[in-house]
Formats: sequence, structure tokens, C-alpha cells
Amino acid sequence: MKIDKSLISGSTTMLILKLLETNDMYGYKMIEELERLSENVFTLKAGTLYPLLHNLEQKNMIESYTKLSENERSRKYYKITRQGQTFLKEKKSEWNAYISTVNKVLGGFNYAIN
Amino acid sequence: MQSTNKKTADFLKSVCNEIKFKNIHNDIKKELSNHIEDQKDNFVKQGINENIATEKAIKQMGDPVTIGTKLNKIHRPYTDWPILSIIAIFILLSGIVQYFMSSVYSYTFVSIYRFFIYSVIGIVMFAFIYFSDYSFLKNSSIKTFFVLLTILLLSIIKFNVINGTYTFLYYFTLLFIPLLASIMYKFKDSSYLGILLSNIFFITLMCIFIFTNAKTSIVLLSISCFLTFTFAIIKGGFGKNKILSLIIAYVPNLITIIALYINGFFSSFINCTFYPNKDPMNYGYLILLVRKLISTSKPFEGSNSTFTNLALPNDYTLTFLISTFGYIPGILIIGILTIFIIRIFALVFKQKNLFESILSFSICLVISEQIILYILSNTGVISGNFMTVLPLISYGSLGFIFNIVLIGLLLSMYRTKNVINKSNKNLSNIKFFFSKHESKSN
Repeated sequence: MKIDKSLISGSTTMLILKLLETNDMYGYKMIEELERLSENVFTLKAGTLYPLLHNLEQKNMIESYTKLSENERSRKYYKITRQGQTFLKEKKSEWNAYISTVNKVLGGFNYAIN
Repeated sequence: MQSTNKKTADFLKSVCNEIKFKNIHNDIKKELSNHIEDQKDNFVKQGINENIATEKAIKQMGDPVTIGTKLNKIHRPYTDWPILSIIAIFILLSGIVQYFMSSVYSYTFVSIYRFFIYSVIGIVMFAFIYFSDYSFLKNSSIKTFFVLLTILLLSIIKFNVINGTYTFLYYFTLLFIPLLASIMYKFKDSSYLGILLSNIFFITLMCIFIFTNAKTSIVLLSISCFLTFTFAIIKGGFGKNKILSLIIAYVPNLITIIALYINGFFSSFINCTFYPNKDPMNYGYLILLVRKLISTSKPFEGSNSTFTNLALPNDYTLTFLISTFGYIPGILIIGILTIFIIRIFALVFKQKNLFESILSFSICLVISEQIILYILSNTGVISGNFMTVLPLISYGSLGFIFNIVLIGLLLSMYRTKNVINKSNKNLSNIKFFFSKHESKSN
């Protein structure tokens, strides 16, 4: 199932930060991981990912460093900062509030995501 | 058929065509080309032919112009307007002071025309450094050190001693301190051995300064080396045990200073600062004059002391200002100098890479030490019987040019603070990478 793009864009930042919360990653790995975790629902294009990453880095949400990856290629790894972690927390609670409100209106169940 | 690697290079070129900030091009090319390679490898693993895999991988990236446009909005060079404004104020102030010194009072050595010439040269050099690539300092700091050392030794042989030392040593010191910081960075991963190696360069310089009696250079070098080592070690450089690293780093410096103190190297400075009345017509004369001029100054009015301004040498610009225009303008200038120091140190902590942090830190030290020494000697707190320069303000072509070049380097590092691959070497690596693959695929 593919989801409407406008629904994804607002939450991409949150998803990226969430990915980096567990592990430091380089761009390509993030796309792979996101596809794996979302069971191929979210397919992020590099053209969307890199401007977003660079923007987050400038806002000090994440930071980068260069390291050799498994296949000896020098990669730019991204790491979440403390500021990024706080931001992710806020975004998550906003998201949960939003979801539960939408569900209330729809009259369905309250799917709180943790 | 167009080579697949040529297609990757074309894609990267189209992305970068949209990005005005050229220094970031290498970083972006490297990151995106790695991504394309990963995606291609993945397709190849799925059994797709390499050429088609590359094409598909490039297609997956999206539209290069859109990516470039998005990245262009994010990557801009950083400009610190407050610092640039303060620099402009200082140069203007210097012009006004030089004008007064040369025309209103008969300071024959101050020439307003010379000021114009050297300030223009300095500003041009500042702009050049500000926009140019400084990565040679990172890659060949030791080579640069030896080139500068050779020039220094040749100058010592060629020129004569003035007032017991060589005045040009001061300007060399301004360059050697940041260079020493670059060398420390080079050895930062060599643990305790790295500290010893860095200290060899420090000791070499110290010996030259001691033998040539360059008092200010000794003070500047000693304090800067002490603090830069501390900074580098705190930032995680050198040995694992930070305390031990600090001790090894400090020892040669401390021994030198104690030995100099015991041998009376600083005795004239101490006598002059604390007991100027013992010899008021000789070494105590200047400090007594400065103290008299400062203490008799009024808020907005100069000193009406029987001493005249005419007897002040040109490295007493601040004393001249206070004794001519009053102490409120003097305090105002000291205030701006303090803001300037705080502001430049703030740049150090905005740097992301260790090399830039250490180098920026050492430049800030050199600039602020000069300012502090100047303020202290110009207000009569310490003896000014050694060479002092007030960066960007006091009269003198070399002092102005060397200092503005250092500030240019500092701001250049801030300008490109988000750029990782600053040297063009990385670009040539990418080119090499493509040409290698291109020849393979042909």
C-alpha cells in the first residue's frame, strides 16, 4: 500500500530522527531501514532525504562525521544530538495527540504510538 | 553509448550547478556519488547489468535540478557581520587617530599616507585570505613551519638589532603560533609522543626568541602554547590520560619560564612595573608618564598634565586617545575591544571540525593576548618596555597586515564551517575514481 505524499512529508523529519535514535547511519542506509521498518510503505528519495538531513544538521538536530563503512567506502554518518532528541520527543507527543484526535473524530479506536 | 560513470558525473554536476556556495560542492558530490554507488551495487546484487543498474540508481535519486535548488537554499557561506563591522570601526578609528597624531600633533613617524597604503594592502589581503582555501595549513603545516623558520633565520642574519632585539620577530610570532596549533593537530593522534614532537617545535622557537631577546614573542608564545595544548587535550587530542597529557605538555614551557625568571630575564619588566620611581628618568620614565597622563584625564577632556603627549612613542595609541579625548572614549574603545575578543572566541565554539577549532582558538589567543598586553601597558598597569601592537588600530604596516590576515583566516574558517572536504584533493579523488571506472567500462 502506497500512502499519499502529503501525509509523509510532515512526518519525515520525525522518522529520520527516530531512525538515528537507535543507530548512527549514512543516507543510503536510512532509506533502506525506513523501507524495511515500514514494510516498503515509505520509499524516500535521495532528493528528499539529503536536503532534509543537511537542514537538520544546520539546525543542530543532528551532526555528521566521516567513517569507513563495511565495504571500505568513506561515508558521511549522521548522529542525533541532544537537541534532536528533545525535538523528537516533542514531535512524537504532537503526533500522538494528533492521531488520537483524528481517531476521536472518526469514531474509531485510539491508536497511540509510542 | 554514454559511459555510465559519465552519467553519474553529469548528474552530480547538474546538482552542483544549482548550488552557489562552491566550497560545499566536494562534500555533496562525495555523499551523493556514494549513494548512487550503494544503490547500483544493490541492483547489481539483484542480477541487473551494471550499466542499467547505474542508470536506474541515478533515476532513483530524483531530479538533479530540484535537489540542487533545495540544497542551495540550505548551504550558504556564514558571515559574521558584527565582527566585520567592528573591523571596519577599528580601521576607521585607526585612520582618525593616525590623522590626529600626524597633523594635530607632531608625531613625525606617523604618516597618514602610509596608513592609507598599508590599510588598503591589508584589506585586499584580508579579502584574499577570506575567500581562499587554507587547507595547506592542515596538510603541510610542518613544511610551512620550516619555510617560515628559514625566512626567520635569514632575516636574523640580514637585519640589525634595534633596541636590543629584532622587531620583525614579533610579526613572525603571530604566524608561528597558529602554525604551531596546526602542528599540534597533526600529532594529536600520536598520543604522548605527539605532545613531545609538538614540543620540539615549541622549544625551537622559544630558543630563537630567547637568544634574540624577543620578550613579547616569548610571552605570546608561552601563553598561547600553554592554552592551545590545554584546548587540544580537552577536545580529546593526544594521550588517553588527560592529566598526564597536560603535564607532559606544560613541562618544557614551565621550565623555560622559570629558568628565564631565575636568570633575571624579566627583572627589568618587574622593576619597571612595580618600582618605576627608582629610576624615573630612565626605565621608569615611560610608565610614570603613562600613569600621570591617565590619572589626570577627565571624562571628555584630555590630560592637562605638564607632561606632553609629544613624548609618547607610537605604541601608546590608547594612552594618546585617553589623554587627548578623555577617559570615557577610552573606556568605550576598551569596551569594543572586549566585545571583539568575546565575539571571536564565540566563533571557535561554532566550529564543527577539530582542526578548525584548534586553529581558530590559537588565532583568537594571538589577537586577544596582543589586545590585553596593549591595554595593560597603555593604562600603566604594566610596563610597556617591550614591543606591543593593538591589532587593527595602532600605527604600523606589518602589525596591521599580519593581524588582519589572521582575522581573515579566522573568518574564512567560520565562513566554511559546515564544509568537511575543504581541500580540492578530495575532488580530484572523485575525478580519479570516475576516470578509473570509466576506463574499465570502456
